[in-house]
Amino acid sequence: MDGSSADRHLDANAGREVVYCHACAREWYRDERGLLCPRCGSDITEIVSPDNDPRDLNDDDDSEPESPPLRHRFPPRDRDHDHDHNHDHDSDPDEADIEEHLGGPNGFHFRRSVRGRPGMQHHDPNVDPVIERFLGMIQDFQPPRRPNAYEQRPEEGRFGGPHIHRATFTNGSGSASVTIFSGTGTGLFGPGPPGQERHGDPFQTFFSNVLRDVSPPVGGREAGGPTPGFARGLQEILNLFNPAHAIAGDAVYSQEALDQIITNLMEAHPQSNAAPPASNEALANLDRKPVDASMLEGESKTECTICIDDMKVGDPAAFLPCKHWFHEECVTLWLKEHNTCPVCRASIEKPEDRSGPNRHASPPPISTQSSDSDDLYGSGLNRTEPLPIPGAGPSRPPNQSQSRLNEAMRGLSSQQEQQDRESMRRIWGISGGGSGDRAEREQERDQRERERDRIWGAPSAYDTWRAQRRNSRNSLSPTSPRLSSFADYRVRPRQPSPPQSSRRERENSNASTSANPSQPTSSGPLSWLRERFSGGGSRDEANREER
Amino acid sequence: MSTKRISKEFAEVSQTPIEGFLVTLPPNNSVHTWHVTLQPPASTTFYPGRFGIVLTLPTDYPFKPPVVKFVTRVYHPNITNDSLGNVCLAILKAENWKPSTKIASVLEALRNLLVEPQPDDPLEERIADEYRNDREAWEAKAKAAVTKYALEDPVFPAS
Repeated sequence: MDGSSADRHLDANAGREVVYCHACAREWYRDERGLLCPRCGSDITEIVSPDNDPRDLNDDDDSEPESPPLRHRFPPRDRDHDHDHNHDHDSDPDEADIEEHLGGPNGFHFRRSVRGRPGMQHHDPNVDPVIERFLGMIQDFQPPRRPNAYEQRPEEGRFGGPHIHRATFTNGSGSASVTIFSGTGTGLFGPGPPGQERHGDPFQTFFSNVLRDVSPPVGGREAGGPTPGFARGLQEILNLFNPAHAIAGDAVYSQEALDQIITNLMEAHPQSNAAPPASNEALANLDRKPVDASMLEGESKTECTICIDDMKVGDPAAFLPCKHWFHEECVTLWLKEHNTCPVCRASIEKPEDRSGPNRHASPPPISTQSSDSDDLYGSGLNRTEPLPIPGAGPSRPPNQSQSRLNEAMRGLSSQQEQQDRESMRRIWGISGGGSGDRAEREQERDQRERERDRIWGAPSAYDTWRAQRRNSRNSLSPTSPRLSSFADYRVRPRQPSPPQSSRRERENSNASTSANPSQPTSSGPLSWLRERFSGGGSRDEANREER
Repeated sequence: MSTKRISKEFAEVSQTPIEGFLVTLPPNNSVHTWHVTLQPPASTTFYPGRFGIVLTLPTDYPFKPPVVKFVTRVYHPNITNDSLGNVCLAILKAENWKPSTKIASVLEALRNLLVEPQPDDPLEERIADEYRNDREAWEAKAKAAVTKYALEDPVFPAS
């Protein structure tokens, strides 16, 4: 090895771990002094390993703290523990994989691997402070704990088992994976000399930094300038920890928080809430005729509200089902984007065009809010009629996150419902029926219905029956309150100041939605049974449907 | 079509100005960008501020809604308190927009928004909370922002 280094530098290969302080460039043996720098007290230290030696072995000036690493001086060899308390960015372009370990006082360990693509910087320097703060915050979550006995592997934590979290962030220019070990005391750090516990809590400052960042900016957003994308993303994640948001992970604890999530989702796709383009069929079915004098006389409106040009006799005009009429050319341009009337937003897709009871009107329920057309109520009714069973019915206009969301919700609830029924059927069908409970009687009726269908070989009849039944039920309880609450929600900005009433309404709808699926669930043993059986329910269902 | 309609609307707004609004076209005379100065009614917190608004009319206007941005800082629940000045206005949302809505209606809606903020549909959650729970503090800050930013003639970005 580099013999000359032995003079001024401790030999890292002599079987003892050498620790190097990045703050003051001092080196010492770990088993003598531990990991904290004995001279300056810094914890920015690193255990020197042959293939990752932060010391500048060439230069006699060992007080240069930022000296470049000279890891190719040594042939690569196994390193037992490479605790790299390295806060600077040792981006060696030849090294594809850099791992960093950060250690905290409370048994949290942080290990980061950065993989860069060729020619890329290994990582964005902006990321480091954020990750440090994140680490600090995590550490703060754990109650302070005395340093513990040496643990070779953090996975074998003594206190309630370890937790290992790994997260990978990708931003197109490479990815960084973050692993956080939480477990026993000092874990990888080994036994520190008595009294060596880190003074104060340096991470307290990190945590307060985090809190400061999490709370809304005091002086407006201009203060910090543009946040780096990654940092902002992380900040958003951290935002979730703010109790005021009542959101934790993918769970929310308040209606407000749920509303907020839905709002965010909707605003993320501003276009998708809009009504879909009109079908060619509907376009072709529009009444068209040239403007004649009788149309203009007695009409208060003589201009096309789209181009705000006057309607002149002889202009080709198109009439929508809501009786509003426009220049044919103008309204066609609009209808090719949205299938609603440019004035009253009534849908132009006629109810009779729908092929079945399951077909629902395409425009979102929002349209019911505009009231400047007498025809609107007719169409409005269509719009609030129950949504179809997922998967049933002919092709539906695409691009409506609103109805897709509703559908997804309905899909969930009806699936649940189906499973409920399947399991109930199995249970109560065998035991011979209900005992007075309404839900049970309903289940029994289901069962009988099904038996009859089987006997008479009319599964399709059963299907329709069930579909209708679900529709009627839906229109009463489960998702239509949700629908109306959507409408209500989106109407809100237009209303002057309805917070009281709208909130109450939302509470009501809330209550009814939450009351809905519990219908067969109400009693304890039933729900237990349901849980036991619901797992296989869908498969059974599928089998049975085949018959 | 869009240019024609926009020109007509501009002519209408110029001939019969909407109360509280001054509408000009930018130096390059593109009708697709309007420079609007709004002076809210004297009864409002924002009086006597003058607020610059840039109204961008897409090429497929009126089939797409105009884009509205405040160039003057406003301390308001529905207007982002930053240099972007984004506005949350229901009638401009894609799902609410209809081509029969005229720019004059949009401007009136903007004035109404200053007269009556909508804290239940906020862009600035914190300001909305303050508006709801501590109206005095909100008014003080809104007034301070008016004094700080909105007393001069608004400066429109060169476009």
